[in-house]
Amino acid sequence: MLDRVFQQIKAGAHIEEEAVYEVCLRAQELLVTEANIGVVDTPVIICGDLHGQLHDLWTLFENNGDVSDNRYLFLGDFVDRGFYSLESFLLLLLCKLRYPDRVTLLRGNHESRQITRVYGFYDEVLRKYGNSSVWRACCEVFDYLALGAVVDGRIFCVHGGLSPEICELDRARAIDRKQEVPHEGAMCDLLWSDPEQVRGWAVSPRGAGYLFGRSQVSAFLHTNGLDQVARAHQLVMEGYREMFGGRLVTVWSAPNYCYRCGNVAAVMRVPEAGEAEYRVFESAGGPAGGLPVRGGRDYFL
Amino acid sequence: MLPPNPHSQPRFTPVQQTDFDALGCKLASISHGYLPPQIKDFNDTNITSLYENYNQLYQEFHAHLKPCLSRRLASKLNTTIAHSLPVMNIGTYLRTVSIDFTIIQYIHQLNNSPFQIVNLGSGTDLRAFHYLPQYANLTKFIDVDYPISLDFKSRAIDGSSYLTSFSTSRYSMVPWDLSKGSLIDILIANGIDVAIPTIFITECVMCYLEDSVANQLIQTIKANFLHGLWISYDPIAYSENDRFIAMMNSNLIELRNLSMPTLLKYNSIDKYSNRWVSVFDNLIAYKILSLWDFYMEKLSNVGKLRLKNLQFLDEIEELKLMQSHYILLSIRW
Repeated sequence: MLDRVFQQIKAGAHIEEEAVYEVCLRAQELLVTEANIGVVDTPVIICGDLHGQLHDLWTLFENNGDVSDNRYLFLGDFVDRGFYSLESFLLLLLCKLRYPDRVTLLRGNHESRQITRVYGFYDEVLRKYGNSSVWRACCEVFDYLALGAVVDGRIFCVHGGLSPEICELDRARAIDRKQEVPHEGAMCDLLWSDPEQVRGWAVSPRGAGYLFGRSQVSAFLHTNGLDQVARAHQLVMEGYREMFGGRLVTVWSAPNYCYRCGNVAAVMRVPEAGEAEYRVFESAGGPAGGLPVRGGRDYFL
Repeated sequence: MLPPNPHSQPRFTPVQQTDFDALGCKLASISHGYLPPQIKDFNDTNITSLYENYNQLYQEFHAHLKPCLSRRLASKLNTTIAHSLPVMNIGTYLRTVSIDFTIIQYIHQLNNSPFQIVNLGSGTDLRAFHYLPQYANLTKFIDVDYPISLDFKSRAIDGSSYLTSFSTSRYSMVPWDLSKGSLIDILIANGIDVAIPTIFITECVMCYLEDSVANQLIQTIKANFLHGLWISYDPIAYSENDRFIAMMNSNLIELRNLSMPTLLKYNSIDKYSNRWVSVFDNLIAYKILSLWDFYMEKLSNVGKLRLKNLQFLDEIEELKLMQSHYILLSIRW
């Protein structure tokens, strides 16, 4: 069954509702056994926001190698904005089910009922199925996704950033994560916060999470015996950006975001020994027949 | 009014169709509560009096426009209204209020002396109906656009007694193709006095014009009007190979065969404003800022929070990228 769904995604074919439920159920059973903060070995390929740009996800796999021979860590925001949120999310779940130890999936702030209602995933499912059941099934899976991971005992990986409520990582390990993303608190901050040149914790312009500066990053790394924070969440035109003397990096893996922004994307390749390498890639565009004409790619005219 | 016949509906060119995008965006911003602006949105300038009848104006207009539209256009408009994302709604808000903000500051300096407004490429914009009841010293407001665009607009207005009540003798629609010759004669024929301070608005208009046509328009207005204010809103590139603008050009060509001929030529804020500055030797002042700058500088923190909370704005970076690529120029002479 999993192979058939994989082939359907590859062919751009419709996936039957029952198959989606089956994948979601199995993924849920697997994810529930995982810790809030996973442990991941090197070498690993760390990937940022994908946002339903399925054809760029295929390019990412082509450039960096099959999941069968490589370890991947995805920092969340698999859905919304792009035209293929469902297929992108299912593809990642299939990879996870096939190679549980090689694939780590973290929750992004878009893996949420409230956000997907506004930013496209909900509408996409309605368009493809005529009802929202498939969306609901996917949202159930969102609730089981891990919140973070530590790579090689030295790199803390998370979608958004740090939280004033989490000095010691054990505090994040104790969160009851199996719920919709709350509007405030530690879990919300991990998925929503951004690094910025600020002193202390500052109000986020996003209206959720915090802005945190160099000293918060230093303190967090020192307390937990870590070297670096790797996160996603913010569009960077160059695909990746190091801050605070390299102690934090933003990785963005959705090239030409929303088919409109003109940015390149990157993944971060962390070897067993030595420096991490960033591999930049450009957009593949859409399927052979072109992207849907309706919706998206809007401008002020 | 003739009953609508979808088969005989005249065809809109790609540029003329952009008016429906702008209208759809505006209706979406209204339905989500972005527009009209609220008094707390700004730190120091109050523009809310201009928006007293805003919702009703656009509701009436939309209701009476519907019967004039083909099924395809009507459904496209509904899709835009229902699915407009926060970045688009905030951008529409910024574009709308920044223009009014600039106009009001100019009007205050006039100390109740007479003035006129000419909205070039107005499309379905109803600004005339906000300004006319507010300012007794606004002696003339003229909307200029393609005949086909104004035909639609006037049919919708004529269908509503509420809208017709705003259409006084101080208001005129002038069907005109800006790429054709002497605009001045037809403005004068419609009651414009070249000696009275006049506000010209070009909101997403200059970007569609051929270079020579746009420059001729600037020359003509400079040569004929003694005093005035020109407000121009457009997309802008920041280099010859600006990636956002390059993508915009290719998307617009692919999706709707729409081209913006001068976008990469005037690829900086200086080059854009110099099209006016080099012509107006009697310049009093000019200012150009990106809509992102406007958002950061003019909106209060309370206002920013209000806009964000309406729909869960998530994409600050995308908002910044997009709004940095749109500018508002104001030239006073």
